[in-house]
Amino acid sequence: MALGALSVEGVAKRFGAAAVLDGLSLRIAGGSFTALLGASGSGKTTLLRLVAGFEAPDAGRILLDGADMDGIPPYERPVNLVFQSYALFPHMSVADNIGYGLRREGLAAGEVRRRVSEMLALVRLDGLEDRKPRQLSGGQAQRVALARALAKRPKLLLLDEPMAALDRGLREHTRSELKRLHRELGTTFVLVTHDQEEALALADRVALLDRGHLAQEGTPEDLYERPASLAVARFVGEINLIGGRTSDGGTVEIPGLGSIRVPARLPIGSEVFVGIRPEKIDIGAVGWPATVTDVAYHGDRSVYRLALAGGVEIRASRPNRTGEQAEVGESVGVSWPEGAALVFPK
Amino acid sequence: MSGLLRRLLVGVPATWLLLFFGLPFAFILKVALSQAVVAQPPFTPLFADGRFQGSLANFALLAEDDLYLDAILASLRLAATATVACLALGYPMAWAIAGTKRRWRAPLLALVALPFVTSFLIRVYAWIGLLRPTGFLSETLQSLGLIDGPLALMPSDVAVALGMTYTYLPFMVLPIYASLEKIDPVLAFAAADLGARPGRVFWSITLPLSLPGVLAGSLFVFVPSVGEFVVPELLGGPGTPMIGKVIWQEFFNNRDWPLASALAVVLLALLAWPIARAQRAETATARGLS
Amino acid sequence: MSLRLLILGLVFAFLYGPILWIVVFSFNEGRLVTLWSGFSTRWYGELLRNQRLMDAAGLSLVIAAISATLATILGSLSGFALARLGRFRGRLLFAGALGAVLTLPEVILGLAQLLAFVALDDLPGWPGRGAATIVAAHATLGMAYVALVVQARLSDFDRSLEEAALDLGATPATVFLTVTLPLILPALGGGWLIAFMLSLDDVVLASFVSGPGATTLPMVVFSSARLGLNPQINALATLMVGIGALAVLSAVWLLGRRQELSR
Repeated sequence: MALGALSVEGVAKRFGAAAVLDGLSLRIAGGSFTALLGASGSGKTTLLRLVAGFEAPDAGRILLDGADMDGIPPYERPVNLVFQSYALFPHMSVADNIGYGLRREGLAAGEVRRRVSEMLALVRLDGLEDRKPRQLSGGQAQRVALARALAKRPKLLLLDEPMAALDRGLREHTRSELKRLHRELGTTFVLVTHDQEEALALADRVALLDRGHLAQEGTPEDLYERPASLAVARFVGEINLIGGRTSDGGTVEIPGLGSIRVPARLPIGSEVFVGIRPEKIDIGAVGWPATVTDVAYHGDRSVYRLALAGGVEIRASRPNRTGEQAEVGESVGVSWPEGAALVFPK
Repeated sequence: MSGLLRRLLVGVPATWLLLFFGLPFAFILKVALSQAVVAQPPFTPLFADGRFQGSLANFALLAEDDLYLDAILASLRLAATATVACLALGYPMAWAIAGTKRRWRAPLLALVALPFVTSFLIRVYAWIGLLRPTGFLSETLQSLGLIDGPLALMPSDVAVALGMTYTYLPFMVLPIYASLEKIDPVLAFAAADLGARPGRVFWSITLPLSLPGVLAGSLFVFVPSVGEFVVPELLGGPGTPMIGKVIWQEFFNNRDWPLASALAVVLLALLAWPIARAQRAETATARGLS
Repeated sequence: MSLRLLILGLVFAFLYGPILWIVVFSFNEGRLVTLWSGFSTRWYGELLRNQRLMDAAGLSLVIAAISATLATILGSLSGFALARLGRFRGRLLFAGALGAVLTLPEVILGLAQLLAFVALDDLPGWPGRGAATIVAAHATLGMAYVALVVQARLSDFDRSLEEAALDLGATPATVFLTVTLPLILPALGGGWLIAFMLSLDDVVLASFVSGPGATTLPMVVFSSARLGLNPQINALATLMVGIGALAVLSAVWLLGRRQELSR
């Protein structure tokens, strides 16, 4: 197994009266690219600070490749962090920033220089070694921060919202750069983010945190297609939720609509939500009769608001392939493939 | 941070302050309760013959003699005059600086602060040269034929107020500037967009938002002015008995240390609230300007 | 815009007019400092030959340098304690005392300190009143200013810089030496300059706490200003204004550099 496996076992952390992490357990495989996803207040930043060693857990253990990190100060952990603000030392040149951690290891000046230029080449910033941080663009500063953290050859690289300060246009490019670095180095990358799109696009594993607990851990497809709970389904992507009651094993009875076939089996008579992603809904001649109440044009797709019988309202997203759109007031038929519907206990 | 380091960090400066700031105030209180004698040191001990000898006689004297009440009133009046004058000059100045282009502001502020750091004493000395009957203003006006005979601008209360205005003006400009600079310029645009003319924008937006700076600046001018000694000594005459000057005279000329101490206690009580209020403003101003 | 220029012009004329008068008449030939009688540098020459003034200036510079250094050490410790220790026992009292030093009338502070020094006179090993007590008084005044500057600097200091250094393998002591100290150094330098100028300018505290034999430059200037005008004082003032301006300009430069650095 690759190095840099992180194991979080029953970690709790409270600040004053607020329990930020409440017995969280999580395993991150060595060499993986894992996103810690969560809304603000979910505890993801606290977990990052615990792993980096800036805070100590109140309970539980954090193991890196089996070694307990308890009591090990940040400057002795084989873990490095790319700060959200980048935290480049303003009084040092780019080269001195990148070499800072290497000098702390006591490497000879020549060796530091060699490693620094190696890192500059890796993040494609050759020639900028003498610049001061204030002379860098946002994208360049971010790559210096990456190079500075990676220069230490950490077992685990933590990235705290690395795209937050970048322009939209730069993010796409930075994402592919991060993927390339991960591929080339094989280091474990742990990305902390509140942006689900970023987590899904970048990571090969996603851990969703919800109010101090692990809500779900899996591949991006797992979280999107097979959310473990209503909370996960709501946080990752958009979803229509329709209230109903299970009748026999495979159907849900919805007032005004009748019965819908669903994959999951729940005890008969329980109150549930049926969830359908907007892009899985077909609009055509067949299916439940509905009226279009609103159309929002997004260019590549349009989002329709549809009123069904029984006061049920859903949103459907359709690609604009032909340029033909349903119009407000039009009567249409609504359907979705069997298996697209998800069921959650209420 | 380790316990030892914490203790050093607070302990060293706190011990210094206790020794050279806290302890001295205990002594001022002690001496204020004793009596003047011709001895070394020139005051009676508080405890003698196993009995407490202190008394409030000095404070009673201060209450009886109109000289001291007059000094206190004169100090308050002149300090208030200087504060208003500083406000009248300082607010427009801060407003003017805040309205210049960004790159001009730091140099202009430095120019405001520059005379403040060039010796205080010498700035007061300059006004002697300008104001006295044989001084620059009087002589110049006479040689231009505008006045007959020397013009006695000093010693006078006006000269004292002018001198304090001059020396403390930067204290007014800097905090007002700091609070003006914090105001988002978009607010003025929003007010104008809603139909306010420039004058109204100033009265309804700029002025209310800059009041914290006005308060801070007024305190920074008023507090040191009340206790001022150098300015009334050099620019004022015997008719300007400001309290700082009276303390000095009681101490150095009359060698009445207990009475000087009692006066200091009264001045301290008088200034306790403004001083406490000024402290909060200090940190805010230091942050605003840095 | 023209209103702003008018205000700037008038107030700067008010601020700099008197200083200009000092400088111009320091080069006046005659003894009268009110009538121009020709250019001369004779008062500078007489100033340099005035042994009493020169001695006082020397003493003042030594006192200012020592007290500013002490003030910088004590003030930095105070600034760090206030900015970094969070709530500690006696914090309110500590901060209150520092703030009071800044705002108290000097006459009160001087009188209080003198009374304490008189009481300490009987202490064995106590240096007695003179240059040492002036240094102590000035250091107390200066430390409050330095504490204010350092605290303000630290409160807008980006803590993630220190965490980044820790993360990269620097021990806390190394973090302080390689990151924190270099970044607050301009503030410390600025604080030292302020403390130095305060000491060089003070007449009230010095008059109270000084003993026989220790006469500082402001004390000499003050006693001669009481007697009236003296072109030698104009010459001295011109020199001090020049030095003061230089000090402020370098302080502004240091603080400006600091701002560039932390951007």
